Amino acid sequence: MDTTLCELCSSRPAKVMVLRRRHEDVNRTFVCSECANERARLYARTDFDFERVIARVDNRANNREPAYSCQFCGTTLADIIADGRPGCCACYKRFASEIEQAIESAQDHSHHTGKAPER
Amino acid sequence: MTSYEDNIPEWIKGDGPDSDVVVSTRARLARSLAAFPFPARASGEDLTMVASHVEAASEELGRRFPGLVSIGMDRLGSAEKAFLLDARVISAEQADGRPGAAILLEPSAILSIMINEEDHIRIQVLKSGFAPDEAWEVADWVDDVLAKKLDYGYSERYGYLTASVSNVGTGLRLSALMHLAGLAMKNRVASQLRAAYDLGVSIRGMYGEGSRSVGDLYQVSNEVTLGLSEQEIVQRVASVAKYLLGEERLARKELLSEEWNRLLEGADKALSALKYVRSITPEKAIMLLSPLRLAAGLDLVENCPISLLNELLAGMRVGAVDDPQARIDRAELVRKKLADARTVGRQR
Repeated sequence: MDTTLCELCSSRPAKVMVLRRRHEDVNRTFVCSECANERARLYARTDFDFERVIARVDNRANNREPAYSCQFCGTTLADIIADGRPGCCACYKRFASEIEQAIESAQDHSHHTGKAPER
Repeated sequence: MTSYEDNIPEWIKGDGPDSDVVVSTRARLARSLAAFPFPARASGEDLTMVASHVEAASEELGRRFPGLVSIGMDRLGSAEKAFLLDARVISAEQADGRPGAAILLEPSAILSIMINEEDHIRIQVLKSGFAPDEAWEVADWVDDVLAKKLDYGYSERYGYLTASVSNVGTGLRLSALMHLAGLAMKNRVASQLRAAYDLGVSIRGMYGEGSRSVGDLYQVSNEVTLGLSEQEIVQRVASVAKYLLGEERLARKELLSEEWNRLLEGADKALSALKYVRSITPEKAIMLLSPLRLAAGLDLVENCPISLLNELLAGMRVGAVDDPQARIDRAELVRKKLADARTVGRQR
């Protein structure tokens, strides 16, 4: 983790990236775990499921899983949460639940019914 | 002039079915190679390998598309990139050219394959006029040829895996670029677009935002790429484009019989402005070309075929740096091309 300071308290190191989505706008904030927990209730009143994301990212941090990234391309969970973009085909398995949400939100469907590669 | 500029893309010639209304139909397939990170995450070395794999796999495509060549983006100058952008062969992202970015292109530009754009592979088939089935057939064939040699990223559940989840599944985006100037003159665009939205397709202005696109050019395309088969996507987009085509034809027929003077006046005004313009923005030029294209499609303008107007549309350099010199150059091009054009002043 680098030494970026929390954007809310400016004193503790930022450990969590929080994504807030309101309509088409996406706002990213880098905060420490304390501020994240403090502010979660406030933000939870918006139309974004703030608490859920905080909990998930924070648990990963607490469980000391800095390696929660794709072994193949190095994409991290934070990257996936930030823009919903996998870094490689292996990310689709590595971050299966996060990507499933992103796909359903973008496509309204969850299963392919078209052609398959001819090999 | 370069060799690329000597080749006129098929869609500009305007020979396809209903090309006075449907400028072009495009089928685009996004594909990735399982063994490499997506371009945004890949190293320069990876991307160079991707390009060489795709180039090797594409050799068989020459059977159907003789003259297909691979061009590294780093070998192109800004004028050549601008030409390919205008010809709608490459995207702005591709023009920026990350390492390993290349384009496979054949002289008619019906088939082009962007390598290392957002995805490793973007197969593009661009046909003149209303040609959804033909465009899909070619894209499907190219895809099958490449799949024999390349290990695509694919999962049983999600289909073809792509760099953006909005393209996952079939990876197919089928679109028709439509000139709806008749509906615009009759103030029917908004209601017709609402009806089309309800049919599950996306319709957006080619240039500009809002309900009325600059130049009355609209892109009709599938909204989702997952959960529908390729045939269903083609059928859905084709049926909406066909519906809009019918409504546009009806509007043009009404204009010809009831508002012939208004139609001709619009073309006259546009032609007068364009023939003597000394400096012009792309938006203004495209706006003025619209009534002229409408009138030309109804045989009300001489020495002004649809192909010439397509060429002008493609040469307006929308999205390029719009400095004073570019405006002067654009005006000169317009004046030169339209020098002999004139409206036909007799009522039918």
